[in-house]
Amino acid sequence: MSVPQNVIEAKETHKESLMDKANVVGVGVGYKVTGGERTGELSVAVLVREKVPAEQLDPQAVVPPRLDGVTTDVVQVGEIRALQARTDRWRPAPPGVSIGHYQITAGTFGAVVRDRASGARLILSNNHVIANSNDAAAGDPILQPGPIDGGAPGSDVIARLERFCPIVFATAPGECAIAGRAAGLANVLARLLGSRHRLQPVQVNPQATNRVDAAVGRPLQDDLIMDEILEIGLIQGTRAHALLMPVRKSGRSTGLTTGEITVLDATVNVSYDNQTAQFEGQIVSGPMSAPGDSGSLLVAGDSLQAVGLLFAGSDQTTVYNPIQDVLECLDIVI
Amino acid sequence: MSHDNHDSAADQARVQAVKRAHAPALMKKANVVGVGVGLRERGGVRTDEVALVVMVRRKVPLADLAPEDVIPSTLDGVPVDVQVAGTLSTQA
Repeated sequence: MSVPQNVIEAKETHKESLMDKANVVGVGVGYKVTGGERTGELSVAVLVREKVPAEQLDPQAVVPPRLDGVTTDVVQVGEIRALQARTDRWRPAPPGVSIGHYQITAGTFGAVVRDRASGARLILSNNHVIANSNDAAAGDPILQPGPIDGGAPGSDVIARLERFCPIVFATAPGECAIAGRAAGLANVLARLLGSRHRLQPVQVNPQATNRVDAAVGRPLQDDLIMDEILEIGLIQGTRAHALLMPVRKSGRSTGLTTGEITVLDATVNVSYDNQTAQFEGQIVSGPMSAPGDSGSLLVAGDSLQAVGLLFAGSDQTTVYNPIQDVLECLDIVI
Repeated sequence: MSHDNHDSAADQARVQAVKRAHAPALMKKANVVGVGVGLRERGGVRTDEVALVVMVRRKVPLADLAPEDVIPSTLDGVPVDVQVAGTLSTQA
């Protein structure tokens, strides 16, 4: 059915003055709805944030019942927002979107956690996402979106690196041996003392193994981050992982994906650019990720409990740190 | 090993212990990227049998492997299952 010309003309003639009215967010053409029932009458549809009784409105904000002889229909639609991609800039930002240390590409803002001591809300992700694989100092800018998604150090800083669990690499472009953990903590200490000098942890012990690839950032302001994970919701505590447990994650690159735990207590070798690190006690699922999903929270498939922290994978598998190890290492609660 | 669900926890603990003992040697073999506790697959179908899972970059014919890189089919009485995991990299 074609729209009568007079309805289109009425809409075109009056759309600008309609859009100027308080509360109006859009103008279009649609069937008039009366008493909750759609009628067969085409009208000029005026989309408003919320319906307000005419007597409570300024006279100039009232939508007239007819325009040039064409009926109007006021439709409540709420606030209209553009659908945002996970690689976009979000303020406030929910877990599940792009984030990254200013010197990396991008990973995922995994979850909002709390500092065990102070209760401060912090951003959880991987060391290799927000602490540049150990090559970072407390206070370094964390961008949302991450650099590869257009995040700029000037305008897109959402948080500053708070602390990280250092990764001990089995193979490294090494000189002298300094324990990674000592160097990581030393960076924090150096920062506290006002030093700009950065200590590079170097590890030459091929037997060295890790349990987590994790870090936390402190938002510049508390209201820059949201607690609800995109497409999952508000996390409620943790759950121990088990074989065949259904799981899901919400990440920058592949969005919401589901699967099940196929291997546990895994010892794995993981490539970090030109280095390798070994991890113990890991959780493995089928393919649930792509580059950019690092840092996503692993959540139980049938509850809102946190299970792990995604950090590595391939076309065939995805690998996670158990959440309890992450919380303990970073001294945080979820 | 028992396929009975009641014994699954005991099976897992036993495989875990064997895994711990043999992980360092298994991780040194060519193509191995991980070792863990999982369920055995037969003909591409997962069974309920708990096994020591050896994760490899790709499957290689036995004839093409050096003797020291061959993965045994059982270790200390525990079944060993080779599963393809690809090359594990960080997902950033």
